[in-house]
Amino acid sequence: MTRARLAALFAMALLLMNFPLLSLFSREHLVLGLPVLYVYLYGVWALVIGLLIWLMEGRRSSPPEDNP
Amino acid sequence: MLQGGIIFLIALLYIGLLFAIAMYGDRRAEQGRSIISSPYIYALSLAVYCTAWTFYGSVGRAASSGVGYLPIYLGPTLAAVLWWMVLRKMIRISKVYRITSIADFIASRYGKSSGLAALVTIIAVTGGVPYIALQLKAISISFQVLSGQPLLGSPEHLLDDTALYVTLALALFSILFGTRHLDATERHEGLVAAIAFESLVKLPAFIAVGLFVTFGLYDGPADLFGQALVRPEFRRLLTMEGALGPGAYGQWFWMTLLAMLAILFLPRQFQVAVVENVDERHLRKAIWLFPLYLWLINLFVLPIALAGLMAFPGGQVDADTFVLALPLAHGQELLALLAFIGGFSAATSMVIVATVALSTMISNDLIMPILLRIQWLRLAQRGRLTGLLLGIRRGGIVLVLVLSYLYFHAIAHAYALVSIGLISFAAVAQFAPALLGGMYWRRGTRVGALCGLLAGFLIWGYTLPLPSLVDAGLLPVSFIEKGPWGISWLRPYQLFGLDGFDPVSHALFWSLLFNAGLYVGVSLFTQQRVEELLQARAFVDVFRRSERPGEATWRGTAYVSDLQQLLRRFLGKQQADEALRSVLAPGTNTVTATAQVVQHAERLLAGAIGSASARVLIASVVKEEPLSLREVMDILDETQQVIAYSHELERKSAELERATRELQAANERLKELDRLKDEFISTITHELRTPLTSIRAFSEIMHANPGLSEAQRQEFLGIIIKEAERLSRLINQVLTLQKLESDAVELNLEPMRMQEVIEEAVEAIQPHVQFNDIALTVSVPEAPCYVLGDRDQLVQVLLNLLSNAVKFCPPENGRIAIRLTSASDRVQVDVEDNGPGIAPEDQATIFDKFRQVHTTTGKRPPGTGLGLAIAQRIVQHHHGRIWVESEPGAGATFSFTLPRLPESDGAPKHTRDTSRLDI
Repeated sequence: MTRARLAALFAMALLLMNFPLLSLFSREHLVLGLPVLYVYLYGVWALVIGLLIWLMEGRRSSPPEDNP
Repeated sequence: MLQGGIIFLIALLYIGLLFAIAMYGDRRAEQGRSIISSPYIYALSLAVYCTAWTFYGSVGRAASSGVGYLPIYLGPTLAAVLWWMVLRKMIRISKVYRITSIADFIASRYGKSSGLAALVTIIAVTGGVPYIALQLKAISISFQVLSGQPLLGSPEHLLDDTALYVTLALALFSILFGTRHLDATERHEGLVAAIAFESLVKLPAFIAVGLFVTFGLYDGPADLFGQALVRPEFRRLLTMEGALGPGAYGQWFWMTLLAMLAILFLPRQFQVAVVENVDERHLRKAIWLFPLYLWLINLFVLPIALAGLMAFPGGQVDADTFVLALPLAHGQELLALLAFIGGFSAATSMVIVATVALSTMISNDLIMPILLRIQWLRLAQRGRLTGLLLGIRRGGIVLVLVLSYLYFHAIAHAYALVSIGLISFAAVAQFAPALLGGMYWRRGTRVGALCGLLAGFLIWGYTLPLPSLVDAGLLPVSFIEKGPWGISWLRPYQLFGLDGFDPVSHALFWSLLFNAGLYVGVSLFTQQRVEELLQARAFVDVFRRSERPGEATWRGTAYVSDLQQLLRRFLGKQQADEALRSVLAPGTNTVTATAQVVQHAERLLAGAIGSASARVLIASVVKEEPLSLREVMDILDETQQVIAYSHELERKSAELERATRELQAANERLKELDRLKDEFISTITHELRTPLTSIRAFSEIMHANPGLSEAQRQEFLGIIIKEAERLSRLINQVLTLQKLESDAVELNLEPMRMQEVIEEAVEAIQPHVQFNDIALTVSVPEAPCYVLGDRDQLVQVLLNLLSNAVKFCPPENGRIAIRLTSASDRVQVDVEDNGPGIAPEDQATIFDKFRQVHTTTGKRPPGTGLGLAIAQRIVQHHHGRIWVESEPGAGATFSFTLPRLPESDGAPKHTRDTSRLDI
């Protein structure tokens, strides 16, 4: 199950970090005084890290399956 | 400005600190108390990814291309998401087969091929040298900036060059801690401890500069951005198109992919992530800790870049040096020194790990296989080779560093840090098809991997490093602009006329296209050799295989002493003997080696000198019988069969279990039957004894008293006759029942009308009914109800039910009713009486043998207690059903059903003529 969730997270991160979703934030605006493109990219990045923590650390009850 | 001498001294002190940490780590490892066995140390050691490129280069890149520096860190974050699947498999494979470098990994997968090992090594070294040169350049520049020396331009005298001394110190460190001893696992605990420590230095150093710039020079990030964006020339850095040009998203994607591959395949990353991994489970934390580290170290890149651009307008200061120049320009010399140490640590950690990883490859995968193949050296027969091997490694380290130093002086001057790094990334990305394909696709062949790698490497060389010679002035500019000899479709940045790509994306696209295409295409049209076939399965199925002992895919004659001597020569006596002892259990054959011992020895050797060399060496001391492809397939089939057998065995044991359960149940039933039989016999004996006793008693009375009156004599004789009749009736019934139960009874089946059966039974019971003064009513339908049955038996059933009813009818106002009803498929007969009824708890057992319901007075009712049992057996033989419904005090209704014959069948045949059946 962990494997499927990680694969889904990968797909999500890949989509969020690339064209065309990325182009929505390619603006000269500032959010709270910060460039919107940077806020978006660092935000998505942090989200991925947070989800990784949740997936790898938060579900200790279910032992990790051995591959394949 | 700081004094050059002081900075140099601090740098040396820092390296001295690294020596101390590494020594401490090694000593603890020797004591068996590892300091690096922790997921946090593991994650920190992975951060060797962040080199001087990250520390200085990212700011430089951000100053010119805005977000362009980010894909290099987003790619590894994406890769980390997949580490649990990919990297864990790489670690498992490497641990099981004792693989110690990426060249060894690829070579081992494709049949321990020395050719592939050499090619991968060449690619890794070619790609690695510019990258190491980049670090030397960064160290050199940072030294110059910090000491206020003029930038750009080498020092007049070689001996004045700090980079040279630093290079020498790093070579010494790598030699000391990278090649201290030869080990079958090739792990360097002290070195990893030092690297992890360096990661703890560079991150705080960079963040300190970031905080100083953002909050010291400006009033927080909003203020910094607000001031910067007043200038229109900086606004372009905020958007993708503005920062990266028209092909921004394509370039973005290719850079991300490039970094994803690099994090897995850079030799130094392979070294720390796979070879130096202590425990697979550390990956669980590293998966998120490493991206977190990247996130933190990148947080202040853009603020520093913008602040630098504002502080040094017009390009008077190289953007790659903003991290140092900004604190210096504001008189923060200590902070600048801290930044210098941070950058220094980033650079040195990369140089150390990369040189150790590359030197291992050079010795194990390039030099040793060649030496072993040169017959006149007779290397395989020589004495201890540990020294030679370590010598080659040390030579490798010096060679790599010298090449890097020369590259730095010859070419790297002209380039930004990031551009040099990307060239290296693109080189190692060439490993992706052969390595990833090899882990997940069994069919990939050695020839396919060779073709793919070679093509990718050549295209990479033509499209990236070769044009860089133009900038260095070694090739004419027309080479890039018009192509070699004016052939325009050979222009290195627009190969085959492909336009609109930046050079790195362009190179990556073409090289990976040809690489992967040839790998897959050639693999599909070439045959795997025996060794390849075995290794392919071993790699792809590693998670399924590692728990099982190795398959016996080796055949030949080998002596333990030969293997032992061979191992001793490479590992030293103590290590070799210890390693062998684990497979040579006491009591086993210690003269000739089994296939398992040979394979174990080969793996041990592979850990020290690489799988390709190990293969050659083992082959030199044992007499092998080559296995044909056919035989290997058979062996693999056999293992498949063993698996199938075990499945079969499991299935059979399950069957056996079921059979056992059934047997147990049958046994229980038999025991029950046996008990019933005993009960039956004891009951029947009792039943027989009662009339016999009374017959005997009356006979004895008459015998002893000849003077009995005639009347008395008549009375006694009457009792004797009645008891004798009862006796014979009982015996008849027992016989009938026994026959019915053993299925020995032959039913004289014929179609008949149920009405006739009832008529006959009523006729027979009539005298009895009249004698007891009972009112008998019969109600049957007009239409005949046909059944198939044995007339006498069915009459017997009715008689038994009727006599039972008669018995229980009250002395006065006794009433019995017989009813016949018919449904479409069956007929039903009810015999109702108005006797005392049967308690519900007795209704279920009333058909059992000798089961008699005791009357309320406790008196045993007359009769044998077999009548209902017999009736039940007969009805069952006729495929019918019999039951009783009763309420205590309100009489009882015995009913039975029989299958009804369809009208058309039954009607014409309703004769009693049984002769028909005899024909």
